Amino acid sequence: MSIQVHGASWWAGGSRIVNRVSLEVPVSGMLGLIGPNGSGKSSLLRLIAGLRAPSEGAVLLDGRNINGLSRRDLARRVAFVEQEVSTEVDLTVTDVVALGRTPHRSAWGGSRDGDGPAIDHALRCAGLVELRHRRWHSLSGGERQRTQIARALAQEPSELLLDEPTNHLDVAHQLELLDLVSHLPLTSVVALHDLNLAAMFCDAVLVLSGGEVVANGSPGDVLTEDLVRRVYDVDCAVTHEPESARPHITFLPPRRRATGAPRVTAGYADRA
Amino acid sequence: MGNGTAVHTRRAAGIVAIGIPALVLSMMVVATIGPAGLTVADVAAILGEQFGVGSADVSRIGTGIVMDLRLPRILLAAICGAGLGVCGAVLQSLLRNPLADPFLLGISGGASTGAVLVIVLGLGAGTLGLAAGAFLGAIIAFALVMVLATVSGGGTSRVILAGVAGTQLFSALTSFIVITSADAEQTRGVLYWLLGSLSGARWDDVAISGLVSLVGLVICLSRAGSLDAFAFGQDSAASLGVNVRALRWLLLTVTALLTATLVAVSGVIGFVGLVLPHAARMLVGPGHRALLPVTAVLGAVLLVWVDTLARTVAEPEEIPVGVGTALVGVPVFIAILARRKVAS
Repeated sequence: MSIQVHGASWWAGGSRIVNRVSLEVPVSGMLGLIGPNGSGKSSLLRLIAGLRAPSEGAVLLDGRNINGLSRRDLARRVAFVEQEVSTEVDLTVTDVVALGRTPHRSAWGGSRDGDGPAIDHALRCAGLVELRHRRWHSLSGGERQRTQIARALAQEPSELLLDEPTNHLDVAHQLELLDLVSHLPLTSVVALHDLNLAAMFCDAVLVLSGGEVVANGSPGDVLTEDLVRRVYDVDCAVTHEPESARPHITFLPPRRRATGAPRVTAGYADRA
Repeated sequence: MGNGTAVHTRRAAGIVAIGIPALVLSMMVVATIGPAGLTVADVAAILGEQFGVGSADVSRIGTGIVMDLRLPRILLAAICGAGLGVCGAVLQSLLRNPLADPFLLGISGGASTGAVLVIVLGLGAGTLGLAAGAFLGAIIAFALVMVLATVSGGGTSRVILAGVAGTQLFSALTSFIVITSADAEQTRGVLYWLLGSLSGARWDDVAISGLVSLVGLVICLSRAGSLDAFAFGQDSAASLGVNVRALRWLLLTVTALLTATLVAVSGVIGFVGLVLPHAARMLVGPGHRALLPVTAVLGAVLLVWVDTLARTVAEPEEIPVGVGTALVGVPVFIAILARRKVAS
């Protein structure tokens, strides 16, 4: 197993954000984390990235607890792409991608022989070769996201963690980005909102609700009409793609409660 | 890094290579400015004689003016300009705030309170000089700000807020002491000190602040790569392998000690630490391996000239050097802000 989480919990501000989560991701596997807003996806990713220490339980890489690794050694293995990042600093795309070499350099920041090829390779993978001299502030949301992914690849990690990487992307870029990640020779954990994207690209999905694991397994086994109703309180119809047998989810409009027009508003309010 | 950075690195090397001789030449020229009618050749001859090379055909008084008055002052100006500029650049990156300056974390407020306690209330009964009082005040205020920041959660914005609160508190204490206890002459002395002055520069000030600045610059430069990683915030830096907490403690402490040392010998010279890093970034980009040396050189040259203006424009009166840096700094800062606005 590449990544293992054993009964990890994380408390913040007096409430348990992540509740006794256990998971395993095999080498080169792609795990999708899904769940409603506030279900603990981002917090769980931060625990796996070592940015927060679990209040109980442990995160293991190849069977070793990550709290025994230095920040630098961890950063040479695990790369993390946050949901949305901003900077005041005037950087080009190449500058941002070059930041991925930080864990391979000394604190002085002198460049190493391996830096150039790693940066070029990361730019090519993310399709940024033409944009390499553009300034970060001039990039669109999707270009920024790809730049951050290229930065993560320049770290030459064996594990890649992505927090809702398809936010702000149009449908073509969403598909392109997840296709890229799923074909990288890396173990990846990706928090996603779009259940169909998770179904299409992930080898396994883990469903979180209120910080707890509700379901875990292959997309076909996990993504059922019953689960979507339980976790999201939304009705849907699940069909299976004939070729891949991967599930496809069609959402249905919220049911109207039977007792007349004024209740409809109340029905929506219940969901909110 | 990439191509853009390669250009920046070459340009930074060029600026430092031209800047250091320019700094030495500036110092020699500036040493001739003022009463006594010396030339650059005289200054060179005086310096040569000091190092045992040749003999100077200059009066004793001329030699005295250069060696005892002007040279320590000029060197101190260069050291303050370099040190304050580097501290500002480091704090702006570390706290991710373009308005951060070396005095942000309570240093100026604490130094002024310490100085006033010595000048006005006679604290230490003559054993504590003004410089020692200012240094201790600055360190106490910084320690208090760090405790406040840690207690309130320790995030970047909490550090800044704690710094603002600490500065306000100690400034108010200073005003309170001045208004309730100082006579007119003392008040003027305090006001003058608060605006920064290099007029009392002595060789031991130069030695101490020069040594502290050099050590501080080397430590900051040794963390240049880690500072670059702060561009997208603390979590991003941490995920790039930077031990954020240790780095922040190290650099906040180093910049505080350096700033406190400079404040103790020169008062509160504003604007150098705020504006100069921005000007340097416009020239060589945000990479700290290029930025920090360029900021140091530009700061040194700038303050050498501004201090010369400060002591000569209103002769025989001296203008506090902090007034000079602000008069030069404000227009530059407005220009930078206008440029930013156009860019964004």
